[in-house]
Amino acid sequence: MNSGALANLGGVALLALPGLGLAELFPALSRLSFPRRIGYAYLLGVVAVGGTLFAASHLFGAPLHRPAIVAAAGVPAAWGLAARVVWRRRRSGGSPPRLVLTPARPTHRWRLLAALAVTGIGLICLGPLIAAVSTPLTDWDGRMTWTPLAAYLHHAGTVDAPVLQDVRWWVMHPRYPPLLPLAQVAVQETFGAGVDDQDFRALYVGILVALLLIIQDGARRAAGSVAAILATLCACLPPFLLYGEGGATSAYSDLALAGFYGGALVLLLLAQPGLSTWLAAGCLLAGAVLTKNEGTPLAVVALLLAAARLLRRLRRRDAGARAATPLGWLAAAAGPVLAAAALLASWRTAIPNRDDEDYFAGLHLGDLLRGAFTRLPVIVPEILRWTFRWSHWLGFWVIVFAVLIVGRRALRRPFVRRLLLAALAPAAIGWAAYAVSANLGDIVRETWPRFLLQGLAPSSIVFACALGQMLRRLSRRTEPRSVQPYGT
Amino acid sequence: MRSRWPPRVVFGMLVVYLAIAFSLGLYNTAIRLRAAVGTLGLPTPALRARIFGREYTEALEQIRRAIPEDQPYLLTYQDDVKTILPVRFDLLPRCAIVRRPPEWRAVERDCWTPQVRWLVVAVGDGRAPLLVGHPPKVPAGCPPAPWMRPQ
Repeated sequence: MNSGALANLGGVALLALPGLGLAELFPALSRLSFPRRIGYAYLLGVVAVGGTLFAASHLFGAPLHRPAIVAAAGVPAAWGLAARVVWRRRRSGGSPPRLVLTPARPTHRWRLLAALAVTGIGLICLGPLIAAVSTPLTDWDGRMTWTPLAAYLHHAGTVDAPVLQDVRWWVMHPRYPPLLPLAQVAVQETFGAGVDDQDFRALYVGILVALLLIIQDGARRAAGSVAAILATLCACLPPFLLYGEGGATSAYSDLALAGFYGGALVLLLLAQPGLSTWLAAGCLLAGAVLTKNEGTPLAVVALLLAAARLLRRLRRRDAGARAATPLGWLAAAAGPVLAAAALLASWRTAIPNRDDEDYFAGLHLGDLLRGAFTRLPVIVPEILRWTFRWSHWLGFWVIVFAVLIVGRRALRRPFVRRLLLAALAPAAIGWAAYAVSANLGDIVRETWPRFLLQGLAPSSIVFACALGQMLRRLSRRTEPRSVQPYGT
Repeated sequence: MRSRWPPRVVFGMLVVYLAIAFSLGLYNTAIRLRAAVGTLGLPTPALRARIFGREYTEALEQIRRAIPEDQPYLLTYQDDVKTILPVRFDLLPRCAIVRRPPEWRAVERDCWTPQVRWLVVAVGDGRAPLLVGHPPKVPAGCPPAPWMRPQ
């Protein structure tokens, strides 16, 4: 594993470079400073490489070998580089204007505190990185579902691997979305990994860092710099996020789903709306759809919340004449989601399902509603137990709830309410699954912390808003210092 | 004017949380760093043996040598079904057909099972899995399985 440390870091670069290239094509991202852009870029890189391999292999029969991977990673990277060069020439040597959201000039003391916090977050994230590149994979779902899927696709050289398509082979969850396994394949194939070399491990640590950068960016847009850095620091500390079954040292897809969902929410609900911004958000939501089964309902929730934001904007302005443009934005966000859902559905048609819980197969709405209420006495204690479990969260959710109570005035703002709904969406999916699953205790234990993780970005941004409110109360200031997000 | 005590109390909780969680985070980073330094330069097989046990990894290596990557195997277990998971993972990308303990003997159940040369038995966490081989045959009335056809 030690010799694979460089290959692991190379794997991160393999995904980050095309993502940075793609980010150059979206003005909403290219105008951000590098630390704020790289989180989105990395996730876009995962979508670009994994999604391109998926489409090329399934639709055109392209083998999952180096030429296809080089093309999937190289084209967006080169494209973005060319766009940057052209942009610089047009601006006669100047770089694209950077987006400045905090008008107040940071004080020396604040800069020092921010530097300390960023160093601290870096030191915390170093732990999972070291663990990932120096020890073999030992988690449950990573070895049961996600990495075996990657190994089968890699060995067959196609996403339509025969082992998936014959019911006699033992494959757990053969119809699970394959984006992260394909990203694994890209890294393993590019660096010629041997049978026990797990060069894909740092890929997941990269996703953790991207998620934290997105939380920081979203919280900064919503609540200002001080609350943002504190919220990010709080969010990076729970051990579940770092070392748990679903965290950065595992090969679960929940962390990636949290990143895609969170990144799209920031762009849809907090950034200045526009075609390129919402297209970028749509690409991230497409990543969510191709990452986990929950990705599709979460993408729908994100789009509905974005539509609610648009409706509010339209009501405030002279709506009639301008309705066409927001509809175009919405279409830009929904287009990649629909394309991803169609690709996934097409791929699944040849794969018979087996060894899968499939909670919602043959489910009636009546059963769901009845179960959701009659099982409350069992579900609620289990959920509370796993929400406040010390070994997983170290009291993170206690602090979140306490701050939300004290800073509840922040929840009056419409964009905070939309983010709160977005944060509750993964929990609602979990609740629905618990309402119909047979083995409730086990399923809550195994999945609830991961549902909390999936909603971590919007939860943390709402937390930052309440924290900002609380800090203002402490400092006796009544007027919010943070910048109101665009058009909320 | 609203009391400032609730935010003060919560801010105090936040500071305590950051102090405890950050210290534990740094401690976790330090122990990972120490463990990584301790295994620096160790070849992958030795590292795997240290983590999963020598008995298990040596048996796995023998099974890997016996079963080519394009050949399937039957996988079963002695007591606990969960023990097949690490074995299947370590034998990837070979394809597995899982049979519960009484089932694997019923070779006439389907067309594929008798055509599989190898049976792997997972016997427990960290314990060496067993490999059993028998000559494969195409049952009467069955077509040759994909791996039995000449390439």
